[in-house]
Amino acid sequence: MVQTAANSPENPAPAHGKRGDINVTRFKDGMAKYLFFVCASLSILAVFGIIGYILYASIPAFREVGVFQFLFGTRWNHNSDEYGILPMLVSSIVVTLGAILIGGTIGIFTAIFLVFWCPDKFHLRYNGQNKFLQKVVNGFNKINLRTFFDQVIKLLAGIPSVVFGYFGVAVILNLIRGGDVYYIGKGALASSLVLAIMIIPTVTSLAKNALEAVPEHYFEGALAMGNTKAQAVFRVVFPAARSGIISALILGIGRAVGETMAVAMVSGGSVSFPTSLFQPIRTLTTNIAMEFADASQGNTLFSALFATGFVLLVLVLIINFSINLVPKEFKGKRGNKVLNGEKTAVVYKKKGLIPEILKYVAIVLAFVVVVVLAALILFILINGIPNLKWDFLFGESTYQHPSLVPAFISTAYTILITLAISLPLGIGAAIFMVEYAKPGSKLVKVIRTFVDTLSGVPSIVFGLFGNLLFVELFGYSVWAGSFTMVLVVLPTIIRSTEEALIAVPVSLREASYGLGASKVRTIFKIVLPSAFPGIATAAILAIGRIVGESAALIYTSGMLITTIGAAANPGNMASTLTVFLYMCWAEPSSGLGYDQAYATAVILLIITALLNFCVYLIQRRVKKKR
Amino acid sequence: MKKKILAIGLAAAMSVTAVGLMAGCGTDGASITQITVAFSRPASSGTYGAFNELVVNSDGKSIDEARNDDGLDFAENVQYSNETGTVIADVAANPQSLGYISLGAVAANTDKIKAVQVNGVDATVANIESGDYKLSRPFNLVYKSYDDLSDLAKNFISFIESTEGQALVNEDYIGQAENPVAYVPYEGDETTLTLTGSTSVQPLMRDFIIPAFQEANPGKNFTINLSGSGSGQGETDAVAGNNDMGMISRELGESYTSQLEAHTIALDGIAVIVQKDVRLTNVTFDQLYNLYMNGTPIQIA
Amino acid sequence: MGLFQKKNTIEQPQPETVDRHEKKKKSDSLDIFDFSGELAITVRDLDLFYGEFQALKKINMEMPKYQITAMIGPSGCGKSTLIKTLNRMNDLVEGCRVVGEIIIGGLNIYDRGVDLSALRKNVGMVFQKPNPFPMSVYDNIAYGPRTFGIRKKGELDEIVERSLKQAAMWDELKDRLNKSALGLSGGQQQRLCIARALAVGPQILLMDEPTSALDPISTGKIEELCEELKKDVTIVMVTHNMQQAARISDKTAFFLLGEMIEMGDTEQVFSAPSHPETERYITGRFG
Repeated sequence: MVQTAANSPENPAPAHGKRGDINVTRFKDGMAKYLFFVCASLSILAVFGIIGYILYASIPAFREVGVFQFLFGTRWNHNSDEYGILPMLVSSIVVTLGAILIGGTIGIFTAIFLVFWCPDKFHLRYNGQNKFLQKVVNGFNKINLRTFFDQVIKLLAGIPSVVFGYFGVAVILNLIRGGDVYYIGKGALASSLVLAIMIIPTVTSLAKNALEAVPEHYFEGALAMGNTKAQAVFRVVFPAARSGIISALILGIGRAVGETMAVAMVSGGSVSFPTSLFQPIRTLTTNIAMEFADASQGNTLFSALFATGFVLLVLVLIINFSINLVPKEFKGKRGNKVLNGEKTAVVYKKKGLIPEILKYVAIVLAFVVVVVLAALILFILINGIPNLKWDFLFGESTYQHPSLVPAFISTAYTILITLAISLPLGIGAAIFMVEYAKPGSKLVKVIRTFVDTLSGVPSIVFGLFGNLLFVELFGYSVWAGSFTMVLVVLPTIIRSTEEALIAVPVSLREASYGLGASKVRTIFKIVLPSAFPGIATAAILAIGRIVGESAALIYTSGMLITTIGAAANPGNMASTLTVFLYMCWAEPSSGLGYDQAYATAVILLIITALLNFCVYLIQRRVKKKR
Repeated sequence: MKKKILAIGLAAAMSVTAVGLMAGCGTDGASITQITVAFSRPASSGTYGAFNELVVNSDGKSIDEARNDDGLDFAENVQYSNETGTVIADVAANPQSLGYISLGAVAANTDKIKAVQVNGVDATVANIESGDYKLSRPFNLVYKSYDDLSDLAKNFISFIESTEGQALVNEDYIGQAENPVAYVPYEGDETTLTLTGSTSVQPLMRDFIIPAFQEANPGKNFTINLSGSGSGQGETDAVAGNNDMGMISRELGESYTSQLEAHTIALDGIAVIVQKDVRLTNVTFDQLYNLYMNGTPIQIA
Repeated sequence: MGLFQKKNTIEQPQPETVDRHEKKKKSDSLDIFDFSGELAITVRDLDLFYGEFQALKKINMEMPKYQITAMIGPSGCGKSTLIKTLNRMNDLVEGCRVVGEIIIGGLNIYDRGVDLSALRKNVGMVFQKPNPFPMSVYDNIAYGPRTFGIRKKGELDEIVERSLKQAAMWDELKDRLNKSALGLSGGQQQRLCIARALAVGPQILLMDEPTSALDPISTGKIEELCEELKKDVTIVMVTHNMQQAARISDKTAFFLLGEMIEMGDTEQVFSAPSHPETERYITGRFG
């Protein structure tokens, strides 16, 4: 479609201006195309490069250990050169299934509750005289509950996973132990629960989108036939939203499979099969994190870890591929083609107990979510706010008394450097894919597949890759961490920008070409401004990802206490806020422990809330415009 | 109706949080009668390497030999704990467990854990020095070659081996400098030093050496990057040139002897720790071996 | 102190206790309506508010059984609102409040305790835009019966066939029963929706501008269908199409600004309207 319009710049209308202008325009056009092509090539190189490298680096392990022995071996001990990942593979799958079973079910029912049964407002009444209480009650009544829940769930979807790890260590493990000291508590159950809580927000908000996208008239149609609300919801709307809901589940699975640090905190770390709920286990991602330190280029362990990454990649590919297998429409039970026309008296009865039960299930589960999420947020705030001390937040940072200032600086640097590289690259690549590549081009499809695959790669694998390439180039430094993060966020930026560009109506481009504007002018003056909200949202999401990342940064920009002066130079090592938070757990010292961790978690909560607020503002502006 | 439900929901949320937080207060360690769970560090840890090499059963077989030569696995009750700090947290949270950490890390955490005797000998600096306490290992700095080290790195080592430095080391560890001399402050222009590796060595550096080194060089503003999650990382980073020096809390790994030089800066004990209220006072090597390899609980008399 | 003084002072029409008992007893059955009378629907003094805004004012109507009643009037006059009150679809609209009575089959449908499922089973509805579910043709029609407890394949088959025949679609669709309903043309989709509504055996069929999204040929088919259907069901139809009202309806009601201006036999309304507004609207001079 775009291509027909794209012919016009080839023969620019000789409307006004001299010949020279036309040449300049042509030159600009040519340059721009070249530039976008370079961006696209670099992005693609990065994407193909990392996937190709993971494959290449895992070959020695497969060769030395043997593919079968590697996949089905049950021992992992690099001191005796034994590399079998079966217990970890099984653990990963079991933990993920557990998480999706708990978190997915709860998430979907919560979404159903939010869309269909959530009351709009509190209906509190207060008849007393106290002015202040009256104001409080009125204030509560003004809150739009749906928007409120929506925002809270988005907030939780953005919280760094390490925070969930803390919640797991401090609350879930204790609840599991329940006073019975026989159970240490770490293991498959704890891991599944932590992951379940982590994916509930993701699944809920995506499932909610899917349910809201179901045309209202399906719902009305069912009601008009005498369905109760519950029947209409569970028999018509829910099945109609099926493909979206399954995609939500699959994305949840992806997040659960790839999670590293939160799982490392509650899984127990033993290489063993999850024979009981409390058997300590190790997942594929935590295996990489735990064995990483011993790996150096050339040894078998190094290759075996990449091979573990490769197995994860294949898992992610299978998961992504299964999204495409979800049929877009649902098929009901098959009817008979040949019917017998005999007349019998039909008795209609009132039925539909199951949907009514499901309705109450939805309500109950939504309250479970409210309770858990409230517990999580209260947990952070109650523990964190008393520890928000000026010295810790903004004071001088020493080895004995670290402050957050270096972490603030390092987080800011990482965001700036990462975006400065990934935004031009990603946007350029997307422009090339949408505006310049031939429509339906196979190349674009291949790129898309690779980009999607890359976006599902667990970030610990990027850490492995970044440690190898960027730490070699820059040494352990914020630079190395930032370049690694470029790889992590690039897929999101490319895909979101691509979608934003595609959403710009072709008619706008045609109108611009029709006025004799060149292609570059059209892209910069018409297409990009129209797509700006989408691109800005993508950038904010990328910032959220950078702020929340831990696994990819620990082995690239380091996990350490440092001084403000050292952090001011991105050539030095420095931990971002989330890595700092992880370090409070992993390497506590006199000035670094749970108190500091909770305070840091509060800061991260605030940052996440601010980022969400930005997205909210952008989306509201877009809505207003329309 | 709805307001009631919401009120109940909020109340429930708060109570769950309260329960969760209170549950964190821990369980009674004094009533524990046996140790069933053991924590291990991951394989990249120097403490792991030294512990497994030193702990032998009654037949004289070490855990390392059993695992690497005989192909045996840890028993099912063994859990991994990533870092020195997490071992402390894990043991503190579970009175039925024991773990091992650098002796130097015990003093700061006696509010949560305590060290027990090993083979009837107290884990003290004096007993390590005398050789009575068997669970000890060296702290090494590793690098490709001493001559290629930066001037700052060389000066840093000289500080550790100076009289000032040794005094600091000897607070919790055993210094290895034979004839310490007074420290000569650094004269050059370099400011950055990167040390990666063992989490056991890090407290020595972080709490003692680095602050004092900075103080001994007034007017200089050093950036000392201290990071890493295990001795293995110290070695691999040193080979790859990603640090100035690697820190390892054991002897240099066999596969690195041809590539790296090791410089011993201290001796450190490995303390076997339990939750502070647990009445266990002594463990033998045999008990440790059987707990880690066979899952045999250690009975508390 | 003040807790008990500020009671809700708005008077709610309380249904008689005897009635409620009876309804409770019958609550399992869907046949709570008695359609033996002459009138299918009686509307008495109906006021309807959306929040503060009064959308319907003192409506009084009687719709005879097995006839087609057309409701006409300019946009925003309240006719669509009224048709939605007849099977309480506007319960969905937030802030909607109804005062007055609508008597269908001997019951005031706004009484407490009236079973919505039973009401809507007996008072079916066809919407302006065809809204088949994203299922096969067969499942669309079998959907209603299934939710009312009919599981036997034979019975379902029979209902599907009968409904499609009633909607004069059997011959077109009998070979495509397992195809998605979304693949049908707009006109077919709308007739399928009629068949779907018929499958639960309604006594009354409400049609809210059922042909406004369709081409003239499809419109013609639906009008024919209505003529056929009124042998068995009472039809209430909202339409913007004057000719359509004149062609097929028996009674016509004209609405303006939330009020019913006049209602009478279609012929009379179109040939000799008693109100000048009606005449001006019908002759196309305003609206």
